Amino acid sequence: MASAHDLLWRTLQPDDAPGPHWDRVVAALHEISRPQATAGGQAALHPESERVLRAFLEHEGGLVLSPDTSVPHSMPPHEMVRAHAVQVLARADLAKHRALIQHVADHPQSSDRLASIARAALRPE
Amino acid sequence: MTSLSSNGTGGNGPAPFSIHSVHFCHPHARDAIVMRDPEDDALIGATPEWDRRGRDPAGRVRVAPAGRNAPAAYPAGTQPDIEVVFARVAGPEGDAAAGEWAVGATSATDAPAVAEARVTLAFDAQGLSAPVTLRLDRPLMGRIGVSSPRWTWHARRADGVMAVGTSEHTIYTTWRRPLDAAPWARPVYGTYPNPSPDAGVANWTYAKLVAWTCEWAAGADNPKAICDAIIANTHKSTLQYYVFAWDVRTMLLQGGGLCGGWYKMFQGMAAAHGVAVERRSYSVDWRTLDDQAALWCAIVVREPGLNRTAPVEQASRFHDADHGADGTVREVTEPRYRFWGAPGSIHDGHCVNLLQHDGEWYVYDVSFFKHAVALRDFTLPPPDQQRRLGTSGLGNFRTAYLNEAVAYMLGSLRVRGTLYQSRHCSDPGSGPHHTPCVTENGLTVRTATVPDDGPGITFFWGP
Repeated sequence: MASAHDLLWRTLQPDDAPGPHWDRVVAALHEISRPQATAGGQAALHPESERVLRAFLEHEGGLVLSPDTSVPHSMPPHEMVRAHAVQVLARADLAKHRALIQHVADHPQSSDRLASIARAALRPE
Repeated sequence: MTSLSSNGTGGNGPAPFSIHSVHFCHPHARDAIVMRDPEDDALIGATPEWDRRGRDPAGRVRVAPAGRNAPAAYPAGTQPDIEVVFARVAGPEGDAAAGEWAVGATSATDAPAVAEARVTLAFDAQGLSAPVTLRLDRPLMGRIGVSSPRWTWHARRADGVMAVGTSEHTIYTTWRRPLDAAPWARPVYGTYPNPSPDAGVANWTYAKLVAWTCEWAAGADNPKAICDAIIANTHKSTLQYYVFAWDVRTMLLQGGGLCGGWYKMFQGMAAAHGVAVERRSYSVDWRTLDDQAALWCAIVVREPGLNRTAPVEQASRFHDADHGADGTVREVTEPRYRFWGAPGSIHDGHCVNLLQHDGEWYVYDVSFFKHAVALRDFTLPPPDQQRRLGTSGLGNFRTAYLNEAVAYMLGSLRVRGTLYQSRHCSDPGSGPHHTPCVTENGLTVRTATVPDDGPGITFFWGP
């Protein structure tokens, strides 16, 4: 899991090296989003996963990706990552992350689709 | 009274002033359509669209920055007021320019002329008059189209009619006034910010959208006909599918986009004519059935997309079940678009437009289709992404559209004891991070063969 965290952090840190391929970003998101068993026997999001997902929501700007990466069709990669982050954080602990998810839902730079996903995450069925 | 000569110029030679600029979208224009240039998002009509300084000595139109000849646009059938500036000729001949005149222009084409009006001209230190408001002599054509007026300007005084010069223009006529641009024009964060200081102008459009659609939809006289003409001709824009852009401005600047941009582009093209279409995304609903099986992991599209000859994705190995999930499995390696879901989350999906016309719904998938698809018994899903919806509750959306648009549904399924599992790389951090990792396709079930009963096909519907 550490390598998945490292890979995701890399997308937020511009430097001269090419960033990760989108396929790897998606796979890393899947990996870090799985709840881990805790000492108390309950499943919870890994603390580093929570940190990187929150960092995506606080980050304003694009992601650093490989120049020949594939991309999602319906949203740009940075919005797709944010959409993923709001859903995972809402499932993990909505009360704890509500303010940040609300910020995404209300942010004027969020697309309609991202804002809608954030609003849906704030109103779990 | 001296009459105009047969070529529309004055019979008494040139006037002591000449046409200097023609402003269609001037600050007091009632009907002019506000258009932007995507290059800098500036308003095209912020300065006169036609400016003589843009002509070379032979009278040919030159391109910026020396001058300009930009298009104007109006709703069909309106009768524009324009603002015109005249320039006094240099030297003593110009001394006679100030004072009362009757000015106007004849038209060398079918387009309206400029009605003659009495004006009092005064010239500033640069030799330019204040803007004079003139009106066309009749309404523009009452339908969608393009006109190219060639105006021969004249000035009249008691002692005769004099030539003031010529000007040529491009005027687009739209079906109705454009709709508010906000729903389709929102920039995507991290691409091109909107630098325009004119954010208060709501009903604007990009000049390219007007230019394209006024040609494609010329004569169309209802929303369905307009949308049909747009989707049938969008390939003429040369914009492509699968260019990394998800908003209209970036698409215009970079030559295309993905479906998340194309449904905004189509909405913007229709909105240029006052036609409102709906936007919907349908996102993959990745439901994990047990530890390994899942429905569905991705939608799979084999069409190349607009102005493409093949899907741009790299070829990968698919396991096609063309006769249902329990039928024969055929291995195929070819490029296909995969719109991936994510387990338990709303992730990627496809984006389309919908139009309700005369009580019927039509789906417009401009990314992959050149025609509308008529829907029966369809109810537009709310764009809340709150709950999964089965396609069985959407009338014939599945049979009329989805089965054709989405060739296969990709899942993780067992066939006669063999598990075909879809998965992204198991260790994304291994290997060069800037290269794709191995993404395995599970079972690609021909969409048309997926039964409606049981799990069926479900999506999350969003804006």
